Amino acid sequence: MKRSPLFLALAALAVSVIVVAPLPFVVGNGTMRYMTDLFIMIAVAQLWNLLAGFGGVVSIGQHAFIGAGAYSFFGFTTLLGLHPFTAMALTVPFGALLSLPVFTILSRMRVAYFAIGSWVLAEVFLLTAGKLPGFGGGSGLSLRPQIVKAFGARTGARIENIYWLSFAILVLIVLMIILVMHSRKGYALRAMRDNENAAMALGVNPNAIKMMLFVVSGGLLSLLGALNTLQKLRVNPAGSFSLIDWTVFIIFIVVIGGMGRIIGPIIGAVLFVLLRENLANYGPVYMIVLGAAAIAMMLYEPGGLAALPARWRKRRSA
Amino acid sequence: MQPLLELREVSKSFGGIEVFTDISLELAAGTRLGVLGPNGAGKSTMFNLISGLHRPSGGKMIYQGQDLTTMKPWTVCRAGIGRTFQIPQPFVDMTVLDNIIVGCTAGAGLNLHEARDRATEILDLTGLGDHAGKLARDLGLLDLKRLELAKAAAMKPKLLLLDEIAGGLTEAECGTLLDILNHVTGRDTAVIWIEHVVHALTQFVDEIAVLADKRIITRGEIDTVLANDEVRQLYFGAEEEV
Repeated sequence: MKRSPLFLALAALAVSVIVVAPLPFVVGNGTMRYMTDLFIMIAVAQLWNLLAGFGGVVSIGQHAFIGAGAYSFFGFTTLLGLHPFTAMALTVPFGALLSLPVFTILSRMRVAYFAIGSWVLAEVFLLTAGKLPGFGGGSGLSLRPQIVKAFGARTGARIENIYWLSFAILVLIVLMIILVMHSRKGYALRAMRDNENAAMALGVNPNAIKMMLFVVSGGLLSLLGALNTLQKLRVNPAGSFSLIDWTVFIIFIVVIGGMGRIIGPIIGAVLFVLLRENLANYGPVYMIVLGAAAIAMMLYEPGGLAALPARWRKRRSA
Repeated sequence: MQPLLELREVSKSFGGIEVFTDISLELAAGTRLGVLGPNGAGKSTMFNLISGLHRPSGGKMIYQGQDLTTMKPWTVCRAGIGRTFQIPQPFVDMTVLDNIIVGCTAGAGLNLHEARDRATEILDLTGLGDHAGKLARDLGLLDLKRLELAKAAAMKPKLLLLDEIAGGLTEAECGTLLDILNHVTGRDTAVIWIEHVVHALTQFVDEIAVLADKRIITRGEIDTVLANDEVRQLYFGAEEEV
């Protein structure tokens, strides 16, 4: 019997949960930390892909929301004294609210201007973060130990908990994207990406869809920024709002893996991390390899690695 | 009775270039109107104005008593005005079935289950049934025209705007298209059809209007309009093939 694409996607997600969730019982702390980084990276890439790959909204300033999440988490816990769990949950509405004025400004700009505008706004965020009182200026501040300990008193338990927390958030994000793409909104979204004028003539309101995507991804990126702060244990403008880590690498990951597909960012992120670790001894060589791979991918198969099997199948049958 | 659509002294210019100065038009519900006119007369521009993709420079457009002049394209569509584009505008990376579902959900407000049923029904009516799972980018011209029509018709519009839907088709294909058109549009659907293929047009419409010289120069019964001297001279020029 032929199963629906929705069923297959949910089944694949369920299988990956069954395989990945129990790993802490098998692997060591180092691997767990390493995988937590990978989960956060995949989640950020999924959200960038949701905007650009599915929605056609190309922003190169999404690191603004990672940083805003880190800083708001720090502010809520350290400055306002909120419980770390409450603070982490609050980063979502915080990022979503922040993305509203950002989108209002950016939505007046077209494609390339939108992209550059988003980058400029992210720089403004970074500079503002360095001037905020109580956040340690340009060099930043460390999280207080009791905040970190809320996620586990002992180091081992903490690493495990943050692993599960990050994985759970990643799974929820992927689940959300799968459900959205198979909903009425998903049809409107794909139509809008393929041909905006024709979509409008069929009743699709592109502005509303783009705003929804932007706000959802702003809120969730902030949450991921807070999670990343737990990994790094500190906030500082250059690190928390890193263009390289949270936009440049993420774009590479999505482009190499496959834009407009949920599997794309997963493949891309795994490849990225493998390359980085294996080429770590050769300095920045991995960045050169990565850049070359991305360019080769764009030229040979714009659909990314995820599109290769279909391409080869087509060639064999042709 | 109030007309379904009314254009009052609508004008449009792009920069300093005037496309038309005064288009006034009334269309009763269920009327099928053909529009002829030389290339560049602004026929497609008229559709872009009605469907909200462009704003008129002057005048007023009323649809079922609502002011259409400043409405956004998606609101126009949801109010019951469907359109096709002169050059088919498929969603290339979606399947043929999914292309049609877009109109049924976003345009007609159906839920996914209803939309799938409606889309399947329209696929059969338009002869695209065998291509349901194909990507739109893999379709040939006749099928693209079918899809273009299917997308607009699936929303069951009260007013359907057809932009040269028979252009580029062979005579046999035109016949197929006319059959499809008759299947997908009930007698209560008003249609404005811009077309150069006069023999296809005359088999479908009740009336013809001619757009030339930046205005509608005449409108009426098919035979009367086609016999009009001004029309013969303007539109058919040297080649008389009617």
